[in-house]
Amino acid sequence: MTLEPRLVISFHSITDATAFDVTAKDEGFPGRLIPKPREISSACGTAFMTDVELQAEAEQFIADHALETEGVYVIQFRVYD
Amino acid sequence: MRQELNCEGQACPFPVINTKKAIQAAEEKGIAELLVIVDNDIAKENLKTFANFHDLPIDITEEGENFHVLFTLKEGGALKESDDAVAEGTELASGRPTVVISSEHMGQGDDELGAILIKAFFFSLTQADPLPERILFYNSGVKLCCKGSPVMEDLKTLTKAGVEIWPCGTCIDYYELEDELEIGTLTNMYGIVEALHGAPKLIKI
Repeated sequence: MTLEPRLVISFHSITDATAFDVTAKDEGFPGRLIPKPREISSACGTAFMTDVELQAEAEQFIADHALETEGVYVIQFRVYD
Repeated sequence: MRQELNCEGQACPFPVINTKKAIQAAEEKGIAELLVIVDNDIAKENLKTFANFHDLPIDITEEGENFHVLFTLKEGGALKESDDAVAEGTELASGRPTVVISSEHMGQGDDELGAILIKAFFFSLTQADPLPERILFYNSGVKLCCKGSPVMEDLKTLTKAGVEIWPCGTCIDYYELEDELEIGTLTNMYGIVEALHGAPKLIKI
């Protein structure tokens, strides 16, 4: 097991998270929905996780599609190879 | 005199537990040897651990798909007093929980929400420490082990990390998913009951 960084995008609502996920799938932007990590908030919620190298592309993607987001974070996750 | 104990089809720790009972009974009857038949590597290795713990000589041979483990018993009592079931092998060593998935959705109520929750659950499970020992799937839960499963990526991660995936064979048959199964080792109700019995902790979803 190793810890590896991932880019995590959080949202104000599940509706915004779902809209982001649908747009990402339609446009071929890689990533997936995950439960909002505790490092971001102790509250329940949904976030989008993608590769940490895609931070610039993610911010451009958000702007291009006028997607509602709460914040963009780099979080460490447990990875098994 | 030799006695035989057939433990085919039994998951750990039951072959060891049953061997211990058989040896205790054999001591009273003055039996000199106990032949234990098991059908999996884990059971064979756990019987070796058990034999080492009690300083019992054993001889292991492969017979087809089975292992024959021959215990030579001691006069006047073969087993030591033990209060360490993990070291003895009569309890699962890991202490890790078993997770039970009885539906393709998480919780009762709205299935769309349940589908979102089950995906969140399996991703979160990959981040858990410790990871579970195994995950049992039955009823519509087995659909999660089949092609197109929304949690397949996480199941593959869990498998890589050593978590056992056990879908119910009867359920796969009922839903006619034999050709769709993508991950896991089919089990039956005996396997499910033994896994539930042997689990130090259960998490049912």
